Formats: sequence, C-alpha cells, structure tokens
Amino acid sequence: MVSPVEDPSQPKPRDRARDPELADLTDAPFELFESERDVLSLRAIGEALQAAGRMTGLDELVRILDEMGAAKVRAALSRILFQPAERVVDPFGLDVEFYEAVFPLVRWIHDHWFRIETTGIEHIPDAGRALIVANHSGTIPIDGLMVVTTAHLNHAQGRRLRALVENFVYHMPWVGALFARGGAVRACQENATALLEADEAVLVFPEGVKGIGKLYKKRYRLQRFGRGGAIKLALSTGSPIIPCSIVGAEEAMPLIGKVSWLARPLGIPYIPVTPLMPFLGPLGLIPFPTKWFIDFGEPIEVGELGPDAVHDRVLVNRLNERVRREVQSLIDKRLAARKSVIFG
Amino acid sequence: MSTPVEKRGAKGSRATRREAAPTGARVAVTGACTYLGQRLIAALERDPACEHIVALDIARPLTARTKTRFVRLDLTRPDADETMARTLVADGVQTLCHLAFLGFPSHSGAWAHELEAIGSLYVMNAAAAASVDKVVMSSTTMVYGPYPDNPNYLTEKHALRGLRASRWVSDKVGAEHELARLAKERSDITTTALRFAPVVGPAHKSLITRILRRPAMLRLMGFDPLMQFLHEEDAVAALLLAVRGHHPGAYNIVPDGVMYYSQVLKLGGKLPLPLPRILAAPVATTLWNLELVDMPGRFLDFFRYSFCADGTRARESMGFAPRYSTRQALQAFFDARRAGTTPRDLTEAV
Repeated sequence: MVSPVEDPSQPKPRDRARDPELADLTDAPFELFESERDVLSLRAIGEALQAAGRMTGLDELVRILDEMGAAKVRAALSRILFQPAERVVDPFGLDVEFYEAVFPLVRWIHDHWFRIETTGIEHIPDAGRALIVANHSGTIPIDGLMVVTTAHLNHAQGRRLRALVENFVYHMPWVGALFARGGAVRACQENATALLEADEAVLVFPEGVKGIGKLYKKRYRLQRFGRGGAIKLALSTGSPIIPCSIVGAEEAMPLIGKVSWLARPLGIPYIPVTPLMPFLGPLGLIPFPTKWFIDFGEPIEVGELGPDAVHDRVLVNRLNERVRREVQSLIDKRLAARKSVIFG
Repeated sequence: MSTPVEKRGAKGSRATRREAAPTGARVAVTGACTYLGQRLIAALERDPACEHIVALDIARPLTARTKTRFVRLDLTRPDADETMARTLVADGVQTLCHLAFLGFPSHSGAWAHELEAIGSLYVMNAAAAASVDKVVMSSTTMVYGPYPDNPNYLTEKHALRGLRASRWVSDKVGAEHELARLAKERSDITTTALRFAPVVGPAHKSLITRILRRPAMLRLMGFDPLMQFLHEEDAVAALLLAVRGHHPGAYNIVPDGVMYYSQVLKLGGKLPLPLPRILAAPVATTLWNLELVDMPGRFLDFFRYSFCADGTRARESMGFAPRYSTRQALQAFFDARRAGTTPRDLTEAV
C-alpha cells in the first residue's frame, strides 16, 4: 500500500538533472542511434520491400494477402493445416476446398515467378478422359504442379488435371500428404487406369525419376519413355494422348550433381546438388525465376486401335516413340524461338 | 484327420438331404461367439430357409435359439480337425463359416498362431474330410499390408503381403493361404474369402474400435493415409450374401468413400499426438512389451500407408451394396459412443 502522505524516512526519487550518476548516462553518445542513414528503420525496410515488390510482382502477393485480410489468412492456414472432418474428399483424396485455398499462392508463382505462357490448351477436351504426356525436369517435381495450375487457369472448363507422381515424392512426409490433397496420385498402372475410367484428365511424366534427375548438361534431351506404360494405358482405356512440352523448368533448378550414398537411407533417389542447394540449405530449394512456356500439342487418337492393341508390342513401342518425338519437337520449336532464359 | 470311411459315409447320407434343402440350409459356424458369428446365428435363426445351425466355439453364443446346436470346439487342440469333421458329418452341414479370428493382437503370439493359422488348417482339413459344399471365411483388407507401393485401391488379385513384423496380420495371411490350398485341392468345395475393411459400429469390438475409443490418438508426423471403415451391419449383410449364394473366390467388402486419417481424428474429436515415426515405433513397441498399449510398433505402418481396397468385384458379382459410407459408419460409431448406447452384449444389438 502506498500512503498519500510523503514518508520522510523513504529516499526521494532521484532527480535526473542533479544526480551525477544519472547525468553520466544521459550524456552518453546517442549519435549512434540517431544517425542520418537510418539503416534499420521500419520505413527504410518498407521502402526496400516496396522496391523489391515492384520488381517481381511481390506487390501482387502483398495485395492478395492484404485483400484476404489477416483473419482470412489465418482461416485459410488453419484450413490447410487442420483438415476439418466434414470435408468430403474424392476417392483418390482430392480435397477441392484445400485446392481452392492454396490456389492463390500457386497462381502467384505461376503468374509472377515463372510468368508461364501456355499455348494449345484447347487440345485438352472439355470433358472425358485424356492422357497428357509431358517432359519432366527441374530436380524437384514442381513442373507437374505448374501444368496442373496452368490448365486450371486457362482451360475453358477449368479442368483439374490429376498428376501421377513418383513413389518417393508421394511418400515424403508432409509433401505426399499435400500432393494427395491437391489431387496428385501415386503413379502406377492401377491408379492411372481407375482415374481414366472415371473420365479424368491425367498428367503423366513417362520419363519418371530419370527425367527430373538428369544433369543440367543433358537438359531438354528426353529420356527413354519407360517401357511404354503410358501408351498401354491410353490404348486400354481408349484415351487420346496429348503431348505437352515444358520449357524453362530445366533452368529453374539446374542439377549439377547428385549424392546417392546419403539418399538411400532417406528413401529418396538422390540428393540434388544445384548451384544453391547444399550451401544455402533448404533455401536452395527455391527455383530461379526463369520464364516458362507450356505447349500442348495435337491429340493423338488411339481409340480406334481398340484395347487389344495393348498386346501388340511393336505397335506400343512405335506409338511410344511417336509420342516422344512429338514432345521433343514441341520442345525444340520453343527452344529455337526463345531468346532469354529469364525473360523468354 | 478323419478316415476315408467317414468321408464316404458322409457323402452317402447327405445326398438325399442336399436335394431337399438348398445350400445354406445347414450351416456350421466356427468362432460362433465372435461378433460376426453371433450376428450370423441370430440372422439364420430367423431365416425360414435355414433348418440347422452348428455353433462351434469354446462357449455358447448368446444368440443361439432353437435351431442351434452348440458343440464345444477348441481350435488350438491338435485333434480339433477330427472332432470337427465328425460333427460336420453327423449334422449334415453344407456350409461352413470360418469366423474364429482374433480382433486384437495377442501378447501370447504362439497361442494366437495356433488358433488362427493352425486353427484354419484344422478347419480346412475338417471341411475337406466332411466334403462340405462351401466354406466361407472372414478375412480383412489388412492382409494386403500397408506398403508405399500399394495402388490407391487394391483388388483381389494383389499379393497378400501382410505385415511380417505383426503376427496378428501374418496369421490372417496364413489362414488365407490355407483356404486357397483347399480351393486348389478340392474343386468341388466352393471357397469364399471375405476381406472386410476395418469394421466399426456400436457393438463390434476390435483393435480398431479400441483405438478409436481413446481420447487421444497417435499420429505419425507427415503421414496422412486414406482409410476405409465398414459398418458392422454391412459386414453382416455381406456375410449373409456369401452364406446364401454361390460366390467362389475372394471379395473385398469395403464401403463407399475414403477419409484421411486426420479427418477421422477430427470427426471423433480426438486429441492428435503427433510423433515422428522414427520415435513412435520404438516407443509403441516398448509400451506394447510392457502391455500398456494395444498394438506393437510395427503396426503403426497401418497409420502411415493406406491399404484401401476396391469393392467392385463384391458389388458386381455378389450384389453387395454397402448402406453406410466410411464417414457414416464412423459417425454412427462415434454417435453411439457419445450417446452411451453401446450395447453391452449382442442380444441387445439384435
């Protein structure tokens, strides 16, 4: 309890002006904190951020976040992180609300980071089954995500492609769970057949791990298209094959080396060595902002051959080679027209 | 093993009876005191097409009424097949339902192995010796095993990889092999294996329901498999279809729809305990060895990779139509838990 009457026994509060000890402190050289060049002030940081934002479309990201509002951002985050029980997922785990929740962010990467240009999107049918065959590149399989995004953005019906992803990605902790929610499915013949029979548009990368795991010096040279699994799939389900080329992903994360001995115990095919990867740690996983082009080619109809053509090994191999050539020619055409890796 | 004399005698005496009554009229049930066993007996007691039931177990099933004859049978005894064959012949059994499987992993692994894997061998021996028309066995989709290279929907053609570290699952795979061997050796016996997705419901008790009763549930960090849960009523309906019809082969009995494990936790209002797998497995194994938890560490793989099965075959050739989806089945289970309407024994449920 403090009595209102001043107690003479208590020492008086020290007077700043008269007390010599305190005066010493007040006379300390404060110029250090009051310099003209205020490096750490909030305003300077803000200005620097704004300048940076004007450069790469960050202002757009800020605007998206601003428009959503803090409460909405929190709600979206909790939607992503904590799956509500009443949400219905499709038989392969696609969660439409999750897809819509993360879409603005993915769209920002699509529009402002890679500045993706897409042609031939009309070759994807408005409804019904289709098999989209694309080249695979870029160390981490972000190209699949971008093809799915570009199709959803540009297609007249906003089709959601179902990407088939490699085993090791699908079962990486967290990554696999996120991929599955976004509509990706583990690549295997059974899953692909079931998806096509449900009249989905399926995106496959027949090169598989060989595609993303090829070194930078081999960029844009298509690897072997597996054993023709994709072709057999199209034949047995009567789906049109739509070749697709992705240009720009190779340079987004150039692979200059691989570490295999450490990767095996971690259950992944390799640990990538990119210009940034081991040295910047996880930051090295951020891809370079290269300019991407995604081109869809004319569909190859295989429906009239009938499902029995699957057993014609020579035909399967011939078709496989034809699709591979189509994808390669789409890539070559785009590469010839491209002037800059960063600006397109 | 029974003698050839007995076998011949059985065939002769049963020929007339078989003409009179359709298959499914005289049924024997092993594991009569299991949930499925009691429900099957209750349904057959009410069914006018069924004339006689033999309940084989170590205790009398509660749902047994006038048609049921109880015969004490301990499948872990080495002479179980002979006792059983004699009973099957004496009662002219046409359909044998093999349901004697444990709902929980046992700490006494050797005993469980005798009961499930070797017990199934005895049951198949008896079925062959008594030349029954049909053997229906209950199994589980867990026999496919949780593996990263499982397709999203496993069909009946897939190998039964089980889970080698879990004896509980391996013994069920062993039982499936015994049934497959019988089917191969005796083409005159119709064999049906019903691979049920994990069964939940107000009355059914198993490892899964025991885990789902806990207020907090373990979650492996970074993994969120898709899961299927079959309602107990649908399981009984599928079993009755198999007993009454002619459906050779294996059938996945699964509901419509799948749910992420995290959604299951949310639906039940469970507290998730996230643990990295590298830590969770040894902790769980230690607790299991101390008899403090319900499942050994390796069993955690079932919460890591999905083992959902494809029910097209049962739908198309058996005409099985599940009434509850995965979500509805779980909802029914949790609702019954919350309302406290879990029946104490099956006579209440029936």
